[in-house]
Amino acid sequence: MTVSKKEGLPTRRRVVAVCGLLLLAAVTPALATALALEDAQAILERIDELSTFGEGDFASVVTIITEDPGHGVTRQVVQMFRRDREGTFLMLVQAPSTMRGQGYLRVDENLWFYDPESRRFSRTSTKEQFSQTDARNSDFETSSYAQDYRVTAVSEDRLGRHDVYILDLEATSREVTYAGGRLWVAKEPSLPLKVENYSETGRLMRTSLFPSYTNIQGTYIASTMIFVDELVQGQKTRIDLTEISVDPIPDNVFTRAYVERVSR
Amino acid sequence: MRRLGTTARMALRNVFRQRRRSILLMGAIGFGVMTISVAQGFTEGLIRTAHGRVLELLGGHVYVEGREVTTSGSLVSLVGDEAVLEEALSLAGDQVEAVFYRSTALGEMIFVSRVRPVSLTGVDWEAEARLVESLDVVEGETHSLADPASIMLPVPLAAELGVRVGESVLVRLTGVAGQLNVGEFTVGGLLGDSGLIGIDTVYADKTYLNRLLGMESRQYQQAILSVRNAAAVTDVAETVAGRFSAHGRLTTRPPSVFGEQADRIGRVGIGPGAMIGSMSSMAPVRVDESARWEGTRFEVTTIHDVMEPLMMMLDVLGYASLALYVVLLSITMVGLLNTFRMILIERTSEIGTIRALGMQRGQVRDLVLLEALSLALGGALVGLAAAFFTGAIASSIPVGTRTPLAVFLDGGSFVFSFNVLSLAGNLAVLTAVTLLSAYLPARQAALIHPADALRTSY
Repeated sequence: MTVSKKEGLPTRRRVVAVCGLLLLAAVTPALATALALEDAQAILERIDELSTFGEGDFASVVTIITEDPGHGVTRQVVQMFRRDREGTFLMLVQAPSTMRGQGYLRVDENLWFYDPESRRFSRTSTKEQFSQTDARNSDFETSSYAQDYRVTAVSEDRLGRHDVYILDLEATSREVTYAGGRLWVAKEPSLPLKVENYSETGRLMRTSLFPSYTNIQGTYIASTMIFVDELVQGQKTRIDLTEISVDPIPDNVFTRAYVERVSR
Repeated sequence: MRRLGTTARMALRNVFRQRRRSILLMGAIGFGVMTISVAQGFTEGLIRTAHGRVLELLGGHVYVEGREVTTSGSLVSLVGDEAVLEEALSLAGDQVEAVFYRSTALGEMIFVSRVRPVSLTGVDWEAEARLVESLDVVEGETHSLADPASIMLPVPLAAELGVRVGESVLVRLTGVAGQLNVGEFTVGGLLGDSGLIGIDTVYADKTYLNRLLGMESRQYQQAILSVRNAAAVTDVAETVAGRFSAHGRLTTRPPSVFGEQADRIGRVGIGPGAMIGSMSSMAPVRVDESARWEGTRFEVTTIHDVMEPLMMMLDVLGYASLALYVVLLSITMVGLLNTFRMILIERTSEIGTIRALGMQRGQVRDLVLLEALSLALGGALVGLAAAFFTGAIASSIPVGTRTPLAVFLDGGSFVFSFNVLSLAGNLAVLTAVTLLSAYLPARQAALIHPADALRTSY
């Protein structure tokens, strides 16, 4: 097909223009993604910022219900105290009676487990399971997405009634609990609604859902968390936070002596 | 000699004069011998079985494990500095038959909705041909292990998971730096033997396991030394540890960090078996800043260290059975003393007669002592026969393989190992006690004057 000079551009110029447009079309999303990756990293920082209590303390009663195909349904009640400015936290098991008095104390970079039966503290890791549930000890710590992960891809979608960013994450070191992840973050405010955790071998290990948040003086705390073990069929844990308080917590609460005393 | 033979015949005949009394006395002695023999055979069997199983499972006698502290202060199990290790091993020289390099991990084996704890040991199948030969394969073939992702499961574990040969299982574990990972394995076969002390041990290809642990394929966490002469185990361990110490690279398990491992393992519900050999397979803990080091430090342990808690337990059993034997011997001693005092009274006139007929005092004393010895040895023989019978019956009773006592079981049953030296020692003690008990009545019998004895009537 030929085009007259009067009707339009000469053929050679048209080919160049089309190629230019095609090139622009190819380059534009790449440029857009590059920008989005930077923005996405900022989203991780924003998530951490929104869920961290700067100067204040935080306390709550945590109810953990675990569905285990091998052991049925178990319910635990835990008293949680957090002081994010010092990176400390304390979890004291209140129920069931067989576990009452067990405690997890994070202080000076060490995570201690207290066993009231032997009356001894032993070092443990944030990467270990919390009290035989699908939650990890790190799930109760201060959020550290920006430090632990870098964003490798970003897209937009809807999750339920929320507009979300979907961020593909890669661990920054082998010391991070999961090697990779996919994070569904609400656009405003930047709060994670769903997280998929992947192993280094690329297998989906756990899906976490955060259907509800509580806003306390500008800091958002997931008041309901659901952890689904994707490796063990039928295994999941639901965690509900109630009796949330931001009143100052006495300094002596974050000490081994306190844990020993209240666990008697 | 002929005189002694005559005395012995008379003594033997005397044993059967009061059958009921003799049978009761022999029964009491036999019960004592049976008790101590069974207890000793049981303890000896437990020690031998446990030693053999630990040796089989850990692959050698001396275990060298590397420890490093990461830049962030986490304690990880890894041998990064091979030069120091090789230098130390070269000093052990010909005493070491073979060195095996392994990685280990505690993990959860998952099949659909079933989860069981396992201890994974990463081995180089080519270098550990002896291990391959020793596998008790009841289903499948060992050549399936050529596939790096293939494993062989103990039959009870496979049954609990509900998995069959050819199907895939998942293993969730923690890498050396603490990252969670999951690997997929194909069940290549089933093994008749189970694990050790409540946890199933599964051998896997070291390269594949290293990948899951976040290690390079050539790396390892443990060097296991198989020593030619079992008596030289401590020497070899001291030689190797001495070299590490000279380099300032030797570490032990101070309670502050390593001693807490038992608590952690107990908490995650894996069982004490996981303590054996390695602490490498759980999420690393932080090391206090003042206690951190650079490079690899080495911990040297031996099969004796591993066996120590078991031996302590068995020592208690040994002491309890010894105490029981002493009590039974004391009762026997009193019984023999009383019996022969009665016999002396009953046979006073008889002793007078045989003395009048020419029997010497020494012969009368020997007569009583030989009668006592016949009773004791007769009872001992009955006791030994009863002990062997009890051992045979008890060792045929299946205890099962899914028990915390698994380390003490061979094929699901206890083993009774009767040691000839121990049995001979028991008999020697019994003989001495018998002679001691009967000596006083025998001496009294020998000192009786024939005329006085003939005048006596009871």
